[in-house]
Amino acid sequence: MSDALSKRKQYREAKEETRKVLKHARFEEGQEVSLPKKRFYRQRAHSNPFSDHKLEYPKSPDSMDWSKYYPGFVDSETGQLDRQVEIADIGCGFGGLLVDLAPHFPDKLILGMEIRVQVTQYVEDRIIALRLQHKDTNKYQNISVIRANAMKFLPNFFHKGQLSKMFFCFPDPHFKQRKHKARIITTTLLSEYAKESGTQQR
Amino acid sequence: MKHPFQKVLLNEKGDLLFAGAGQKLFVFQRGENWQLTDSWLDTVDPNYALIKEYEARSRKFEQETAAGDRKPPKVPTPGPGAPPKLCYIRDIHLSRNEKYLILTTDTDKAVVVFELDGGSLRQIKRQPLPKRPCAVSTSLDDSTVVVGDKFGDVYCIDMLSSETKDEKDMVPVLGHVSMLTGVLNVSDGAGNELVVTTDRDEHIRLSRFPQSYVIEKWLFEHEEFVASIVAPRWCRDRVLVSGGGDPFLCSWRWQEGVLADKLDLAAAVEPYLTEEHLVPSRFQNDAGDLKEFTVSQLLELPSQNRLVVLVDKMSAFLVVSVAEDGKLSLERTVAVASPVICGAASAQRLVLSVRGAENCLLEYTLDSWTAAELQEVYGCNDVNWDEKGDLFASFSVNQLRKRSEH
Ligand SMILES: C[S@@+](CC[C@H](N)C(=O)[O-])C[C@H]1O[C@@H](n2cnc3c(N)ncnc32)[C@H](O)[C@@H]1O
Repeated sequence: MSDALSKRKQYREAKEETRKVLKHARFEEGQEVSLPKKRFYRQRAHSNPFSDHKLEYPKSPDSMDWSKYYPGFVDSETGQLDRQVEIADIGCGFGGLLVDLAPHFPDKLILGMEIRVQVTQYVEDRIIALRLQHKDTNKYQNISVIRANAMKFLPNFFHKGQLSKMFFCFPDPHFKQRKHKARIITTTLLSEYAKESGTQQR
Repeated sequence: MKHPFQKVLLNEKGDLLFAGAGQKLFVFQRGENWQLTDSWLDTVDPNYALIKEYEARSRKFEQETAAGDRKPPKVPTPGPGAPPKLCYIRDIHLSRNEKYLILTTDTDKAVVVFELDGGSLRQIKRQPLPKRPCAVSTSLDDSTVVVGDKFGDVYCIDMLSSETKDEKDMVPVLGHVSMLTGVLNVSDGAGNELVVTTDRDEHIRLSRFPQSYVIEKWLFEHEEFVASIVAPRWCRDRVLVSGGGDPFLCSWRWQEGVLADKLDLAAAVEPYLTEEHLVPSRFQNDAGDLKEFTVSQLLELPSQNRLVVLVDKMSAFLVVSVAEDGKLSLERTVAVASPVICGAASAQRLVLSVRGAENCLLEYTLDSWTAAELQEVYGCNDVNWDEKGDLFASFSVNQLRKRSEH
């Protein structure tokens, strides 16, 4: 393994330890975590949406436990979230939009979905660091990210009409005709997005 | 050795039997005995896709020769290590009025429609698709073939006209991002038609038909791929039953979108599991005894309000009753002499194709559950198979199981 490679690996392993502890946590006093560095999380641009990735996804929207993703919005009496995810950024990449949206919709839960593992981990680490840095004001508790193949499993996550906004920014273009089925926006997938966003024909 | 029947089908009355061995279809009619009345051989070159690509490139080359002195395209040949191409008649399907027979082929990935006249076939059309067809249904009015492919797209094909489309011009009417394992048109009993689609990612989707872009519901419970789904007719449009890679069957009151019942099959199946059901070594446990099974086919026995449940590579089948409200109960397990490949049922008959050297077609008497060999049928099968490799493995439905590693 080249030096650069092993360095990236080491960096990510160290971050993984922190992530394990902090991903779903409310924070203690005196913790500090630095913002992750993108260059350690680069991954090849395309992940085949048809392959059987080792993904975690709920059997149905009802069986999804969101509380770990938004610990700041857990009702202390019921242990459940006090609201539903309402905004989704599909193929969120490195999470820039999530971070920008967070202060604009402080009382709405925003979810990024991303298929690439390391890119998702970067976003997780970024959110952990931001939450920690702003623990006094509870900022960034309303954004979270999940590794998911949104083209296959979106219906497993969301009820009909649950999402009020869905973002698809700069989706992979897949120019070749042969690859069009790998596009995240296709006429056939629009029926799913319509159902989740409550915009389908009655 | 003889190529076994990889797919069989009976008409409702049970006096027509369709059987596919390799690329050949046989039609039998029942009088005193079963009589071969017609057959059809898929003669399209298994390298259809390569040839087609070559032709397209040649055409392009001829048009562009002026542009320079480039070499003409090479005649494509499969690489030396390429395994022999196994081409089958994958699916055999009857229209609801039983006037049309629909086949799907591997060679040119086509849907072939025949008109049936007694026991003889008249080909109406052969429509190639962009990807391999995996599941077939017909619309309730029998005007349209609804076919799902390996990449998750569903197409409508006019069943009655002989006109075909260039496969490039075909537009899907709905799509999953997963291999489709079942397509089924159903009525809600109130004049609305729906299309049910099932896939390798555990999904069962209900969409309107033909406005199939409107999703009515998803039915969630399966944790592995869905291999078979039926709407038992005695449940009068209210119930669906599904099975596949999970050790249970699900029944659904689909109009309400609720799971009606779940029947665990593991205990009944366990005594019949063999080495062939061992999980591949890379996914095995330390003891090396982890087994898995797949429900490969659900067959309706409408005279008994029961389903016959076939399990991949198993020398037995299960009989399960389905009440009108969807309640499932296991009635019995019937041992078979050798592993079952596939089956067909009608009002009064149950026919199973099984592995073996000869007489691999069995008919069961529905009350005593005893089997008789259909020698007169199997004797007509003149398809041989001499290639190396495990032929039966290629019919296994269990290979749809996901083995994710990354
Ligand atoms: C070109 S990037 C755009 C990223 C981000 N939206 C932005 O505007 O910067 C497209 C992203 O979509 C992700 N993606 C592609 N297919 C996906 C799928 N099926 N599910 C989830 N994410 C997917 C890719 O991994 C990639 O990060």
